[in-house]
Amino acid sequence: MKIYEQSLSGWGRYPVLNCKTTDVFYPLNDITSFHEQHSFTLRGLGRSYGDASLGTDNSLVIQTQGLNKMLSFDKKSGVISALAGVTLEEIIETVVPHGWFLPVCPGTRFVTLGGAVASNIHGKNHHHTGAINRFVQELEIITEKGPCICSPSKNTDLLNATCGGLGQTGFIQSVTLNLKKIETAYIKARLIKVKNFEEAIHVSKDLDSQYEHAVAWLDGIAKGSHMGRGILMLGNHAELCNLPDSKKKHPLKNEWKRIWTLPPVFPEWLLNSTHVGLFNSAYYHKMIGNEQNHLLNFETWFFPLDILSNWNRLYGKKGFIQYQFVIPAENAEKGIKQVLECLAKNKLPYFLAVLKRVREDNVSLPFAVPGFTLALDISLKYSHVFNVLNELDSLVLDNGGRLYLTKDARLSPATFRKMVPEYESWVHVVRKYNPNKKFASLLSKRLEM
Amino acid sequence: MKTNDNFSNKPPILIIGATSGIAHAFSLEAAKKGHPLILAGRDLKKIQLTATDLEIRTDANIMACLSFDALKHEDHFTFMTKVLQHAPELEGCFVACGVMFDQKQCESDFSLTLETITCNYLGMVSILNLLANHFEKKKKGFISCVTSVAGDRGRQSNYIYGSSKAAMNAYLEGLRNRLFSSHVLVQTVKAGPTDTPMTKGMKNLPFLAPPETLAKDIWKAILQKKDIVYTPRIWQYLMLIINHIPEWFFKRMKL
Repeated sequence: MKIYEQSLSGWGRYPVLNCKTTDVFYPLNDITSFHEQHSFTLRGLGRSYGDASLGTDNSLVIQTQGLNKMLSFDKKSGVISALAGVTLEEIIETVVPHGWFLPVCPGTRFVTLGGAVASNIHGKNHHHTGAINRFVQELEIITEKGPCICSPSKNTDLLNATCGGLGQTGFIQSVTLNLKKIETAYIKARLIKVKNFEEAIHVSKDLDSQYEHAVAWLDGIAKGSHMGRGILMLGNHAELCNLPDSKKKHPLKNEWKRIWTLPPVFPEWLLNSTHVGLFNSAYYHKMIGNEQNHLLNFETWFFPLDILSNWNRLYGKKGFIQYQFVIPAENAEKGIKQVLECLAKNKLPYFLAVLKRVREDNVSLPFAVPGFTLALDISLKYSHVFNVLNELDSLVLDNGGRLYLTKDARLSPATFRKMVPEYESWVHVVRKYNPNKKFASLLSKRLEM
Repeated sequence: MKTNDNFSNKPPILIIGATSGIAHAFSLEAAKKGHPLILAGRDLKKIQLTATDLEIRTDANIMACLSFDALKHEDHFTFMTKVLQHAPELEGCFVACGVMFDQKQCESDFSLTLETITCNYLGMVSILNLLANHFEKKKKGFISCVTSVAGDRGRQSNYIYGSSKAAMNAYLEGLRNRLFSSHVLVQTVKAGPTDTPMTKGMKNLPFLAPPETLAKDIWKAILQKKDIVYTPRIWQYLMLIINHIPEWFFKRMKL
């Protein structure tokens, strides 16, 4: 086993840290004999935005990308089992030709299965389907006490604490997932222009029950009467009868688009309000009329950003924070308005804003509560960012909301505990299986877990 | 595991070092094209895990998983017999087998140097001799063997490993010469640094390539019957320059 120093960061490129690192390629039997280390941090493809996959001073970061073997796939029942380092892209490539699909897709296919479970990933269908935990049939987790199998009928407490548990419950070694049946590799999409975020919320409430997938893109730059304008995107998996004859021959065909790479150093001044404003305006006006219907390949629908393999470089060396919060339905409109006004007052631009309705997460450390979530990409090149984000934290908290920890890099432990009352019962389960805190990360240290 | 009938009439390929990153990617490529495979490597458990993975991803026909240890020359004849029992029609062999230790450690610990040479050169010669005899009799087939760009010139940072690969280059050149009249392709794959378990943790590797890129290049080169392939492609040009640096200058360089 090679142990080496590596400079690591999350997808937001903040914070950046030198970590002691190693790799695993084959299943482990036991973690504590694996190496005499104070503690372990688990890292897949490093796609969590903040510090969830970064090590502490005395932890060893275990990278699981090499743990990439599939264990079984039942083409009749749509159940796939794979080691934790297998990526969602690999799963899609394997299962789509047989008429199956991931039940939950995040905005990128470049995440590992283990990371997906640890972050309890959600996607455009959260309001309809929920997060990925609902589809986990079985997990093999190596806790301090040794390997442990958990499922909805066995060691349920460990299962519920692990999904969304950010790697604190143990080393997720393998995942068994129930897939979703599809007839085609296409999405029947309906796009509706909205004038502002309130309209997005209303239209979403009215319509999204008819669609499995629903998400609104909002223009973060437009000012005045256009503030918060955007496009609501609704979609369902297309059935065979929805396809034109030309596509009916190979309804499950998928060919990934070519992926582009940005140079290692991208001048951060290029990403400014003017340029993003122009882009957003073009994106908004490209859509002619108030409503459009399209038949889209699933890649275009689920993973539009994946064609730029490292779009995080757009934000330059200082990186960015994706501030994603959820606010319960009854306060959603008020809360989101307060947040956007606070950003405007402090002249802090956000280049990308994504709004969607979510349902509850039935896990021990949930992110989503029934309501609306808004994700804002905020560059760290502005010196007052952290102060403003602290202000936003208190607004979110006052409205009964909370943050998505997978994207967080700066929340304080006190605010976190107020936001998440479930924390105590979650940590109780974590300690039941790991009394010696063998699993830790910079995030767990920061939040004093 | 499936039986080897009812699949296709494509000839079987033997993969030696099947758990290595490049071999896994190559196996995927070959299985996608419908070739039945025999996987061989040191750790049978890991080979079986790889076999299951290939079957799930590609509907591959894995004819057998065999244990193969490059260091145990005495077992190679039995191994070859087993291979031919499973696949008398064997028509191709892909070899991606080797170890690489830290150069500094090799300098101070001869056992590591010995293992490098025994595994990367002697072990390969031992098994390739047997395979060569089989293909020579058949008068067709291919042997594609992964060596390294590190074998083209000896550099102070990696010359133990590099020289074991350089020896392979010369061996393959000779074998190619011998088997030319038997219409057997003997291919030297000079691989650049690849993102595999072998290179994890190594700093400053230029143009680190994913194994999938190499696998595609190698597959294409086999179809085109190329004798020597640099992969990824950029290494062909880089090595053209490096190989032309005169020795009086090269020896002064910090490489």
